[in-house]
Amino acid sequence: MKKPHVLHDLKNERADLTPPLPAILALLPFLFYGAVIGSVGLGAMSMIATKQAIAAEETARVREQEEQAQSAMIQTELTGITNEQSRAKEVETWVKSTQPLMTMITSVINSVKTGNTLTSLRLARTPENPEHVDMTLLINNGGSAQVEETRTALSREGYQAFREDTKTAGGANRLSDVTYTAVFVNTGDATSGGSPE
Amino acid sequence: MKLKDIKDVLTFRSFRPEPDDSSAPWRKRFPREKTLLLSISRRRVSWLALDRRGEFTDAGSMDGELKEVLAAVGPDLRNLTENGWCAVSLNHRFVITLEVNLSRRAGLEQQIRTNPKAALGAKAERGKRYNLIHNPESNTSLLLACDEDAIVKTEAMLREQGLHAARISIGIYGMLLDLISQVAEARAARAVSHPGEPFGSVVMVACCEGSVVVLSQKEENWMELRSRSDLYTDDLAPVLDILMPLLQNAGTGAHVVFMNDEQGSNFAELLQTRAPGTQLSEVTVPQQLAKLLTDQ
Repeated sequence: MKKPHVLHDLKNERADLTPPLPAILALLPFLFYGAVIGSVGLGAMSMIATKQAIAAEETARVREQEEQAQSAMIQTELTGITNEQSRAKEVETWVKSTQPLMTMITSVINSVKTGNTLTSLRLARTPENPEHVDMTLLINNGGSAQVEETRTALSREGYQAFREDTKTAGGANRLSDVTYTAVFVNTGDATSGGSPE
Repeated sequence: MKLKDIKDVLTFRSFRPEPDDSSAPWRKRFPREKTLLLSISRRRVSWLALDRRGEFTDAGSMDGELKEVLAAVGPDLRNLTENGWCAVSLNHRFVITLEVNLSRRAGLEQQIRTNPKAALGAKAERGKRYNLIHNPESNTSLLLACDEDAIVKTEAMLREQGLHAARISIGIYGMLLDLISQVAEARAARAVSHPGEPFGSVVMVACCEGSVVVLSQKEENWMELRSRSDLYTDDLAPVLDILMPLLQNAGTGAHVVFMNDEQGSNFAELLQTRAPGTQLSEVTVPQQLAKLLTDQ
């Protein structure tokens, strides 16, 4: 005889007694709790991801601002360098442009006799006639004699003067202050051997 | 669908038998829940709590009728449970008889609960509740009859104290069924180990809180049955007066199998005094009645 597993019961049986649901349906509450836990987990992960994204965005924004500031600084430096370069080019241009005048200047300076002094020497060229050199020479000691010396020296270097004007402050005194203006043109036939004197 | 149904599904309550579903084992009905076991005799009530881990605790007893005991310790008993559920062993107002040639049609055991007249015919009495078990190897059956009035009143008195009877059974009848089951297993095992040898006669004795039932079996046949309630208090000597005639009828060499509601009785000494040389097997386990009430 099989051993009874459940003891007999004599109490009134309830009419609305319902049997337990099949065990397979226990998956439903498991799925429900899984869904709740999953939702909470996903929510938490989303929140963390959102916070991380906001932090990353903020970091990117700060980095962008830093890079913009750095870019502006580099731009400023570049502008400075460009300006410097422009100035250097101007100097270079000036140096190159003054190169042809160096011979003239050297001749003028070398033509000054001992005891004579030059107050100023101004050489100018115009873009329209770059081969014409306007010269203004102010001699405060030496007078017209010194002017002649200078003209001669320039003539030896191949510079031909025209539209000359000499203003003497001391009248007939050849050694008084003189303002000499002229336009020189390099004829290209310089005399070698330097000054005849 | 009600909100409670959804709650029961989410708490997995719907996947367990209802607390008063008599077809389900006790631990499936009350997993991890404190419940109370009551053994109710005419002039004494014993109790034992079953805790969440399935261990028995807080044993106690009090002399007096159930009504008096509940008036005295009802709230304490209620506190031994979580939701008031208890299992009851009624130890009086029942009769166990040995019947012959009862109908064995399918579903009779279930029908006897709801419509005993249809199941038992002229044997059924008004105001009784029945339980029945057949001997599968002979034409005999055990029939338990209990006063319906005792069950209804017991339920009502418990309800007044906030206790709900999840099971009301006759403890000694359960013990007898357990004895029958053990003897049947032993007989089957002997048939395997000693084929062709006779099993002999067995006299089964069950004692529970003053009640006694004795059933003699010869080979596979149930021969005689005696049942008394409120026969003894602590001394088991009156049990021998019931046992001896059946033991003599069973013949020499009859084996006595004894089960008490608790270990530690002096039945072995008493039997040796009255019937020296009788073979005795005591199969009582600790908290025997409590284990039966909780399907262990």
